[in-house]
Amino acid sequence: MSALLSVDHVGVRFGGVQAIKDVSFDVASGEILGLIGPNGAGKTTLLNVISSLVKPSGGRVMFDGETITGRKAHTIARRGVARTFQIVQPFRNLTVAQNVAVGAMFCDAGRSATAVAEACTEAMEQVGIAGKRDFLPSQLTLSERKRLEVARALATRPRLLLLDEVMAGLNHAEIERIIDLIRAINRNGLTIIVVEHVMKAITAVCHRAVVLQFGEKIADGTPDRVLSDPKVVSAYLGDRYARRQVAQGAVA
Amino acid sequence: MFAQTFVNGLLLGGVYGVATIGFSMVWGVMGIINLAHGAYIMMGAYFSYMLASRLGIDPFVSMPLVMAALFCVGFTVQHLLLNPVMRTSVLLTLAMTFGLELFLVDLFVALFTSDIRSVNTSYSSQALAVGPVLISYVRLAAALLSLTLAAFLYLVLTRTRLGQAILATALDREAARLMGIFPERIYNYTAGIGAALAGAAGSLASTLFPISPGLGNSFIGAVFVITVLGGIGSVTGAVAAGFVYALIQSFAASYLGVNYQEIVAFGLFLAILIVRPQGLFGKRFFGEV
Amino acid sequence: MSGKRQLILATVLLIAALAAPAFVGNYWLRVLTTVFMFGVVAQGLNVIVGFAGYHAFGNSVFFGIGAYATGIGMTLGLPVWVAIPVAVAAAALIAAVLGWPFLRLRGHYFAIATVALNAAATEVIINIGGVTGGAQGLPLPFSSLPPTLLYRIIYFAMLATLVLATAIVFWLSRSRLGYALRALRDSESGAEVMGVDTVKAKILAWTISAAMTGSAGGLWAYWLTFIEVGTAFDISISVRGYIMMLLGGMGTVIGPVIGAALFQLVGDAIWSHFSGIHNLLLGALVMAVVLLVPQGVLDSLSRLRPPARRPRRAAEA
Repeated sequence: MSALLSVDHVGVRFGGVQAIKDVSFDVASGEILGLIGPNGAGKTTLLNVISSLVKPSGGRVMFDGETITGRKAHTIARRGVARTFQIVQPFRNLTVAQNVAVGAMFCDAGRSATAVAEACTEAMEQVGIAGKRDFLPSQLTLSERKRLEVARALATRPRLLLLDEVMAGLNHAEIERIIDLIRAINRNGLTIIVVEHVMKAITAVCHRAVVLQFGEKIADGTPDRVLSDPKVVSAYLGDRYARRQVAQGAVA
Repeated sequence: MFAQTFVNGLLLGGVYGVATIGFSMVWGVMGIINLAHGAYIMMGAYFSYMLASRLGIDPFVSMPLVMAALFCVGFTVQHLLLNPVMRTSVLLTLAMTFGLELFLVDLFVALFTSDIRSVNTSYSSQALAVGPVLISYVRLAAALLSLTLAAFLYLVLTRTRLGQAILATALDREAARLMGIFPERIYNYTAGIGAALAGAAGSLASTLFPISPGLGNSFIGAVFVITVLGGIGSVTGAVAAGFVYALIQSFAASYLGVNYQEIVAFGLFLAILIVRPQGLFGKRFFGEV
Repeated sequence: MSGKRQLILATVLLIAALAAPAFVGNYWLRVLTTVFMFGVVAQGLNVIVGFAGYHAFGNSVFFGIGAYATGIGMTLGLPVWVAIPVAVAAAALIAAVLGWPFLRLRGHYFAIATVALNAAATEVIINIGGVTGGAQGLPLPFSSLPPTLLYRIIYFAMLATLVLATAIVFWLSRSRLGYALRALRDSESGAEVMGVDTVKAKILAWTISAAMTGSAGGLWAYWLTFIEVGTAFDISISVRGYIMMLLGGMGTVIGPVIGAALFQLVGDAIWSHFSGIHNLLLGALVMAVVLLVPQGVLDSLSRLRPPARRPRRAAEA
C-alpha cells in the first residue's frame, strides 16, 4: 500500500499557543484512519491544515505524491480531498439537492449538467437523503444534516474524505447507520480520516488510529492496541486512573 | 501653532469619543449599525437648545435631562422597530435605521426649519491662556465631561449587573438566554444607553457648533472612522480613537488645508479596515461574523 | 413566486414599457426613465448583495465613476456611444482591482469600507480638479438632437440597460457562478472545501455589479448634461437601490425591478403632494416596508396564494 496522504512534521501556532507540535503520519490508500484525542488536542486543526483552511507554521502535507501545503482550499478540494465540518455548515438558502450539486459542480470543471445531476442523486442516495432533495437544510433533523454534509463531500468525487465528528449528537441507531455508511463508502475504494469521540465507532470502522494530545501525537497503531496504551488511557482518564489500571494488570 | 493645533485636536477628541461610544456599543453588542445615531446627536443638540433658549438652563446643567430623554427614544425605537427585525438579517436593521434617520432629520426640519441656531452662554467666548495657547473654557469643559462620561460608562459595563448582562449578551445571545437574561430587554437598555450618549454628545455639540437638522451628518462620518479605529464595541478604544482622529484631523486641516481633512480621514479609515479590521486598539472581542 | 410567473410578469412589464412613450407626456417619461435607472442600480446591488451576500452599501461609487468617466470622455471628444461603454469598463475595472483587498473584509466591515470608498472617491474628484471640474461640477457637451427625441432615446437606452441587467441576473440565477455565490453567501469555508474559488467568484460578482451601476451612472450623466460630485456620488443612490431590492425581494430575478417601480412611483406621488416633508414620509415608508414585508413584496404576494408550494426541481443547472 502506498501513502495517499503524508502529514510531515506539521506544526501550527495560533499567536502564542502551539496548537499542533511536529505531527507526522501517513494514510495509505484505501485505509480508514481514526484521529482521536481529548477535547482541544488539535484534531480539527489538523483537518483544517490538510484542507488548507489553516496554514501550518511548519512542516508540509503531501497528497498523492505532491506537496499541497500553501495551496488554496478550493484547489485541494478539486484534487480530491473532501471534508465535513463538525458544526454543520449547510448552504441554508439552497435545497438539499442544490447543496449537494455545488459539490458536484465545482470539482470537475468539465462536467455537464446531467453529470452534475447524476453525481448529486448518487451522493444523496448513498447517504439516504434522496427523499428530502427539495427540503431546506433547516427542515432536516440533525442526523440528516450530518448526512447532508457527507453527501456534499461525496458529490465532489473525492479520493480522500475527512469526516469531522459526524456522529456527535446522534443516538445509537443513527450512529450504527453512519458506521455502515462509512464502511460502504470505503468499500468503493475511498480513503477516509475519521475524527471522532465515539470510541465504539473508532474500533468498529478504523483500520488504524492516531492519538493526539495537546497537539502532539502520542500513539499510532491498530485501534485496540492504541486504546489500551497507558499513555492514551491517561490522556483520556487522567494519570491516577491509568496507574491503577496498569497496577491491576488490566493493560497487559 | 503646533501647540495650538495639538490642544484644539485634544479638546475636540473627547466630544468625538462620546459621540462614538454609543454607536460603537450598539454595533458591538447587537450588530446594529445605527445610521440614525447622527440624528440622535442632532436631537440632543436641539433639546439642549430648547432648554437653554426657553428656560435658560445651561447645556452643561441640562445634560442629564437630555440624556434621559434620548434614553427613552433609543429604548422605544429598539423595542418597537428594531427587535422585531433583529433575528432576520443584518441589512434589515440597517435599512430600518436609515429610514429612521430620514424621518427624524426631516421631522426636525419641519419643526425648527433649516435655520442655523446656536446656544450662547456667558462664558462662550472666554478662554484660558496657557503661554501662547488659548484654551476655550467651553471646549475644556466639554472634553472633561466626555472623559467623565466614558469612565462612568466603563464602570457601568464592568461593575454592574446590567453591564455584565450586556457583555454576556454580546458574546453569546443564546448562552445569555440560558443564564436567565432576556436578550430583547438587554437590547432595549443597550440602545437606550447608546442614544443617551448620543444625546450627551449633542448637548456638548450645542455649546461648540452651530445647530441645524444636518448636525448629525457632520458627525456620522467621524463616528464611523473612530468606531473602526477603536475597535467595534470597545469603550476605551472609542475614547482613545476619538483623540487620535481629532488630532489627525486638526493637523491635516492646519498643515495640508481644510480640503485634505476628509481625504486623510477616509484614507486612514480604509487603510485600517483593510490592514487591521479589528481596529488599532481593539481586540476582536465582540461577535462579528 | 415561481420562475414561470416571474417570466410572464416580466414580459407584460416589458411590453408596457416599450409602448409607454407613445402614450405619456414628458413628466411620466422622466419618472419612468428614473424607475429604469434605479432598477439597474437595484439589480447591480442584487448581484453583490442578494447573491453573494456582500453588503455593498456604498455601491453608488460606481454610479459616480460611470457618470464622471462618461462626462470626462465626452468632454475629451468621445461620442456618447463610446464614452458610456468606456465608463462601464472603467467602473468594472476599478471593482476588479479593489475587489481583492475589499472582499477579504466580511459583513459590516465590507459595508462600511464601500461607504468610505464612496466618500474617498468624492474627495479625490474634487481635489483632482481640472478635467473633472472639481467642486464646480462638470457640464457635458450639449446634444444637437431635439429634446423630445433625446429624452426618448435615453428612455429606451435606460430600458435596454435594465433588460440587459435583468437578463444577466437571470443567467446568474441558473449558472455555475450563481451557485458559487449563493454557496459562499451561506458559508464561505463550506464553499471553499467543495471546490468553489470564492475569491474569484466574489470579485466577478462585484465587477458585474459595478458594470451595471456604472452604466446607469453613465446614462444619467448624459441625461442630466451637468454633474457634480454631491449628486453623482450620493450615497442615497445605493441606499435607495437597497430599499428597492429589499422591497422586491433580493436574490430574485425581477424583484429588484418591481421594487424600483413601486418605490419610485410611490416616492414620486409623495414628492408631488408633500414636498416639504418628503423625506419624513419616505423614511416612514422605508420603516414600514422593513417591518411589514421584510421578505420582499414578491415573496409576500406569493404567500397570499394558496400554500400549494410545488417542490423546486434543483440541480439541473
